[in-house]
Amino acid sequence: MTSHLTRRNFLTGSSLIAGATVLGNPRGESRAQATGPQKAPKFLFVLGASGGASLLDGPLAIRASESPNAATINAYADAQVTSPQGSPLRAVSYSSSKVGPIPYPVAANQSDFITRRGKDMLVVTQTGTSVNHLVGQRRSVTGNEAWAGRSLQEVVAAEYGAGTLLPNVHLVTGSEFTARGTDGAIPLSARGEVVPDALLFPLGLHGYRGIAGGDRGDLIQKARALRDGKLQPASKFSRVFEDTPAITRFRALRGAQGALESADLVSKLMIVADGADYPLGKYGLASSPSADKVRARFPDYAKDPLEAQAALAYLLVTQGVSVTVTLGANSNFVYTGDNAYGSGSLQAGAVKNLPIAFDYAHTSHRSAQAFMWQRMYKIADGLIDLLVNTEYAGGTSYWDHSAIYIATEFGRTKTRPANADEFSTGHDLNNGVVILSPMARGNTVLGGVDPATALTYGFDLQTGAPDKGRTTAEKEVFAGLLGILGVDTSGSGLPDVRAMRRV
Amino acid sequence: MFPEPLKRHSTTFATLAMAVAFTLGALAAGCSDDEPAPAAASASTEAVVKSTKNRVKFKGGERIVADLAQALDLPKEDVCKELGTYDCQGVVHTISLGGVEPYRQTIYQPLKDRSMGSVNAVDRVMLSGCEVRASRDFGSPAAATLFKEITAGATHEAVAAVGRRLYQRILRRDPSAGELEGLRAFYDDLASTEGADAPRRFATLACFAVSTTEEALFY
Repeated sequence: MTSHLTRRNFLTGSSLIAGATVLGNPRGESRAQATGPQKAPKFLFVLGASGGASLLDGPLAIRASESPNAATINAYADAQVTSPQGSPLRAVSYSSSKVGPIPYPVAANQSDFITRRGKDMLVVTQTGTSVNHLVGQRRSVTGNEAWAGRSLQEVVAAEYGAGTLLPNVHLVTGSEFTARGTDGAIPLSARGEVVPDALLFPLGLHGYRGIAGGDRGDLIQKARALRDGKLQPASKFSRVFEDTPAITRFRALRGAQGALESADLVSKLMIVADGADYPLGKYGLASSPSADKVRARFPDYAKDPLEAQAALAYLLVTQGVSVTVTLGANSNFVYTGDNAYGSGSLQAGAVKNLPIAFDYAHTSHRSAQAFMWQRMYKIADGLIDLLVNTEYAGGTSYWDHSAIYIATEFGRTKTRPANADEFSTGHDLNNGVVILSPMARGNTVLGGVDPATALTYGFDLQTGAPDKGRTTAEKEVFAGLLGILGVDTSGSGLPDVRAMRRV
Repeated sequence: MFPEPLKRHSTTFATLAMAVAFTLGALAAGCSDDEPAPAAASASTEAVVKSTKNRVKFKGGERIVADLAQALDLPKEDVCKELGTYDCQGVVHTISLGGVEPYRQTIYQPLKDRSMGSVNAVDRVMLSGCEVRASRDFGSPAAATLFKEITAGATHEAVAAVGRRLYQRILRRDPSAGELEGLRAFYDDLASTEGADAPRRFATLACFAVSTTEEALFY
């Protein structure tokens, strides 16, 4: 869907915090308090590359000289595919004057990212089981229901989220990368909390700060005590319906309200700056102490939803609020230019997201994939940069304990009209995934690509040796990711994919 | 499956009829738009039969704001704005208050359950609406609609009058003696700490307390 996204109407018509359930730990301990005898947490960022991100247009690109069928498969000219010295990872350089019919030039060069982050980059080939977007997205985070229907994020939140207020947060909407798992054994607190808009989300984390009449917290507490202690018990309605699930849940949430307010997340997670659009100071509010840092790293945060998500994802983890955050591109065309879309040329640098994201490859494969891979890498790079430069504890950085999983639902078809540079592709089960983490086996491709067919093949799950006789299942990637994150999977039936872990 | 009410609550027809009457009375008092029922002398201590049907629903943002606006004689757009600009229910807290946003956020279904966001959003909307009404009444006492009696200082009679009006407008019923007593005690507590500001503070906070009761938020 196309939308003209000015700063003002980015907020108008969108809404913010949707779900912030704090039932698992209403005490809201700080990270320092919570990690006493427990193992150090690991942090998972799921970066949704929705629409079908083809690894053949990224780290598994094929050079024409390598393939006997270069003219008719998605192979690039040799000069367009580079690799850092000694690295199996590929970087595509691609430019085009337009993206299909969209009169907007693309100039993508992945080499900087691969050079800078390749040491922490693991590419794992995979063949999925669905070419349906939503089904494929869900399977990419559940391993196709590999562990009783639990999602990666729920598992991580359940494993490491004790002591955090919102262990599992979903910043992207309209996607099944945020699928709710089906395992009833997962605690409610580990379920994903939906945050539709990252910018003013913190306002939903406090019951009165910054709102008219909310200048005296002590008096608000007295009014709440009046309500809860005198008025409600006297209400026939409350007494008749006090056992209903909706009421008991609401009371439980109210019981946790104080902890959330005490944590001052309304400040700690506030990315926006005090000014005309967001007069924070006038309402007794302030930006996060880390806001300058995230705004500098993601300067388009006010107009680009994905930059805002990345900024908030960093704050959620480093402020001890969450252990897993899901962010990503959705299907909206994001244009941040000052002119109205349709009135003149598209301003340079103002197209932030293609319609239907990676799936725009149906219209123009290479330009769409180039544009979107550049976007994914840019976001990941910014997030890594912030995490690397933020100490976690004992001289280690947050990045040392983190993993970014670039999830995608499937790949794209491998063939093209002879020597065509612009062509359409459909969905294809055969693809791979990208994992960025110092805990993963870095600068590595597990499996490989047959240059004759452009189909990926698998690897030995223990040694990592290429194995052309097998392909990697979703379950195996799921298990390997949990292994990287140090999650105890005893009793799950999941395989041990040792090859994915850094030795 | 619902448990058989007869097995749990009554073995005689007369007792059952009385229980049903209490239940229906409680429902009518909470939900009806008709003239409020006469105040019961000790309604807070009356025995009630707890519901076994459990079909209570959260009103949702649109209804909450509409009801509050009507109760407080405010245009809906004046009830609550975050940072003075962004409509609380229509923009900022739409999803947490049970709404959808299909165009930009591709959220087609309301959230199934309430959340911390819902709890905080409710508090913010009600607090803001009450503060706006209080500010207008105390700013123009001659035109006051809700808090007239206390704009020039509060007596217990004035507090009771305002308390009755809050219940009648927000909950569509008269308050019980116990509820009025609670409001009176609350005012006295405020008076002991806030001095001359007590009536003004009471206006906003009493309105907030009543409007954020479960009775006001669910049906």
